[in-house]
Amino acid sequence: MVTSPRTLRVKCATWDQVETFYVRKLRRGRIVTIRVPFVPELDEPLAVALELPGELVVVIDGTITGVHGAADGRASIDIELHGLTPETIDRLETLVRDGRAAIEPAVAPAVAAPPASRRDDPAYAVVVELDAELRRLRQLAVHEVLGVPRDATAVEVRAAWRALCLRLHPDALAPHRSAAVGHLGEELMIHVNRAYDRMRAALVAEGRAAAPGPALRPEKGWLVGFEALGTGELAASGMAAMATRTPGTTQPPPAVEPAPAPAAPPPPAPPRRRSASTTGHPTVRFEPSTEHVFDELAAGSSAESSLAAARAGAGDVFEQQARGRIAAGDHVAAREVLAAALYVYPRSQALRALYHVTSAMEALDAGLIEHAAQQLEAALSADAGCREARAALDDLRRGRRAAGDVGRWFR
Amino acid sequence: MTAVGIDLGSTHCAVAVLDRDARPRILTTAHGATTMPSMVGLVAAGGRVRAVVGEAARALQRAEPDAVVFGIKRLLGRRADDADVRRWSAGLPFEVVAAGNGDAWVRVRGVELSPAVLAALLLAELRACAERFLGEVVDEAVIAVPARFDAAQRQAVKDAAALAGMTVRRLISEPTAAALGHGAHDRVARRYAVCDLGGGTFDVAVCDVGGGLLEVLAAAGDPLLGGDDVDEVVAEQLAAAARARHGDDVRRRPAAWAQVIAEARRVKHALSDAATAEAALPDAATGAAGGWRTVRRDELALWAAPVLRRLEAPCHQALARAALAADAIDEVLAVGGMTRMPAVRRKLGQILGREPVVVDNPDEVVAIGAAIEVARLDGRVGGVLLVDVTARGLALGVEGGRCDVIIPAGCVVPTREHRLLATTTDDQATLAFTLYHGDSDEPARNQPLATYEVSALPAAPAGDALVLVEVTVDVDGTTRVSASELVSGARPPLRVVGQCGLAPAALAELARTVAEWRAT
Repeated sequence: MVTSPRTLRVKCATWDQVETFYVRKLRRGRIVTIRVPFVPELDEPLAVALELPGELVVVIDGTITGVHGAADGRASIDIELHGLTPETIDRLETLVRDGRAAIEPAVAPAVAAPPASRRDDPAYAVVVELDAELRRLRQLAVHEVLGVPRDATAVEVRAAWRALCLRLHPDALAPHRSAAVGHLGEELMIHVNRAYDRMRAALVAEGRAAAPGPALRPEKGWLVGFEALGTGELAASGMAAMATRTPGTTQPPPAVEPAPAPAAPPPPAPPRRRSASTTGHPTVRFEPSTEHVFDELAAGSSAESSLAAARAGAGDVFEQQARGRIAAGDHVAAREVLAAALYVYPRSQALRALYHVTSAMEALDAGLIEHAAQQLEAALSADAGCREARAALDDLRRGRRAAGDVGRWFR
Repeated sequence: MTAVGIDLGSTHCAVAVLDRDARPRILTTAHGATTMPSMVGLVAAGGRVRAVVGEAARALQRAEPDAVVFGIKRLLGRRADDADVRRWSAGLPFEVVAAGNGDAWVRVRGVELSPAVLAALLLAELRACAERFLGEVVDEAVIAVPARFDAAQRQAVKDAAALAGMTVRRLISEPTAAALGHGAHDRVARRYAVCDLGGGTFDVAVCDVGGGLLEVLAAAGDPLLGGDDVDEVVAEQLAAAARARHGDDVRRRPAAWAQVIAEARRVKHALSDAATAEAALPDAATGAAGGWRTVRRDELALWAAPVLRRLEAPCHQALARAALAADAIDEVLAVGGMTRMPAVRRKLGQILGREPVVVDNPDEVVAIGAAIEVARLDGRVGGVLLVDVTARGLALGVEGGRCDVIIPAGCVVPTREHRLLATTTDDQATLAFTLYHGDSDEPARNQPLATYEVSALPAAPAGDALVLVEVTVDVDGTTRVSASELVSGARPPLRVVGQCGLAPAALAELARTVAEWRAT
């Protein structure tokens, strides 16, 4: 018994015992405790030879990591089986499966009735397989869980995650109709999803991907979430700049095209983080002071009265722009400006009146005189001093009278 | 062990199964309709309460508007002080009140009820429809919920199903159900924008189908935009025309106004097919027809334009969240009854730059999608795997401190996260912590989900007793919490001190109530 390294032969009489070995006997995936008829040294190498029913022997290398209760030449030892790689387990699983398949046809028909062992449950094999998989995944680093290199690209990460989803998602395993399988599927998927979320976050932080929802796309640059515009950060100056730049404020903010900036890498901007979105967006600048003011508004504080002056002043910009566009006959653009402005100043009667005017102009273009008149009257009721509305309404009446059609709509 | 697919809508519900030939079948209600209004009425008869559901409740509403509750889905799993709830609940015939734990409940005819109970009455009716059709006990369901439903709302749906005697096999999101019902699972890789404009809500979702997976990339919506708003503007116009004729404001008389709304709805439906329709104007005295006015389709489009303009923001928001330009969408799916209106389709086409595909049965496609998912979970049909993400973040905090976002919005479910909590005084025996919904680290800005208390901690100096709290979000998007004490490795008793939604202990009692009220 002084051969080096020692080999400990473990006789497995049935395939169930083999399975029990790798399913239930291992702690932390690779530590096994065995009572042996000798007292070994700590850190001594020791191989375990599993003697399988089919006269096969599988040798697994290990190291002794603990010796307990050494007395009269016997001891209980902990062996860390570093030779028990996932491949070894896979091989054992295959052997067990094949071995059973060879035995069962002969035995199974004879004793059909008694559900003696869990082996009769068709889902049992799946449980064993998933359990081994979960054990394996729990030992791995994040990138190993997905089976990709540490510096994998977004495409690789996503493909690996999808493949794992298809195999391990509880829904994919649902046809087994087994609570145990469902539970293992969920645990596995939790593990895989956490790995995916972490790799995704890392990729986004490095600026190598954009991550909307579960998707992951290799993309330079980054996006500010549309909602960042809608909240308190919507400073008047920024809005005005946008309105002048593009009449179509209804377009989503364009994807920021490659802003490589090698010296200062783009800030990791997860779209919903307000702090991040205020720093890096190149097109919309937020005035810190105004942002603060609007924050207060959003929080529902009572700062409204002190704001009245500031708001009135900024609203004029929109009013002038809209008037200019109405005068130029570009009603659609005027409406865009006004819609944006009303978002910021929902109580401005002057803006509201102008909005009605643009609606009226569109109706006129469409030949719906009745509707146009209603819109113009609505404009005047919002703001009696609205020049455009009065002029247009006068025009409309004059035109109607000239045509001999004095409508009952103008009472 | 029979399962059905259910669409629990804010205005209408539907239930569907896949028959033996894997062909979808919408199951009809007792009234022979394929959808059932999501309304529940309470009638006191002979000293006990009886619930009427669906068409019967709608009929009851005409006679006794204050006995009928609608829009139940808007209140499920919400708090009474929620901004959306407050905005919506102004001017309703029934009252929205705060329950003891801050949940939004309704008070109808003096009875305070959880929305989950009302939803359970709806689900029980749908279950009865299915049992009548299938001739066997139905005890499982796949229920479609909006993609933006958070854990509290999803839990409320699960509770409602439990009260109705059904186990939820899976909660799936409505856009994915719509895409499935449209046949997305048969196709090659495609990116859909699913626009669901129903009676009361508008939802947009960008979904990606490919490689056997169906993912929701982003979702957005307007919870207060729907066909009812269009009805209202049309009714306004009819009332204005009546006012011009006989100077009477019908808006001031609620009963008459309800009739005008119904007439407006009829006109709206007629104009989906015809170019013109005759609308009956309300009469001065009675509210009955007092003359006619021809409404043209382009007039309707013009009246509805301000309402339809509100479709723009959610669409752009969904695209921005998915970080996609409109031209990256392969197909725009229009579902929901309102998409029958040509102006809606035109508007959606204009916003998303692509003519929407209108499915044959926009009211029922979501239920069919849920039925397909049922069959797929049973392994009867192949299909795609649905992958969902968390709609809102989850944060964990201890009393008096800040909270910590542990699972942000947009994480793929199922997922799990843990935090270590330490005691703060010597020999501290109990430790309480709260789980919040929200993405802020200030507890006041988040919505509390539940407060837990770990007790029987071993006596130890302050900071030495450590509790590991694990928060799991399961495949349905609902949460569960477990705690273990690290020093001894024991699992100390974990008690729920206060939580939103219904307490599990109360479910059995409420289930009896539901069954009792349904008994005729």
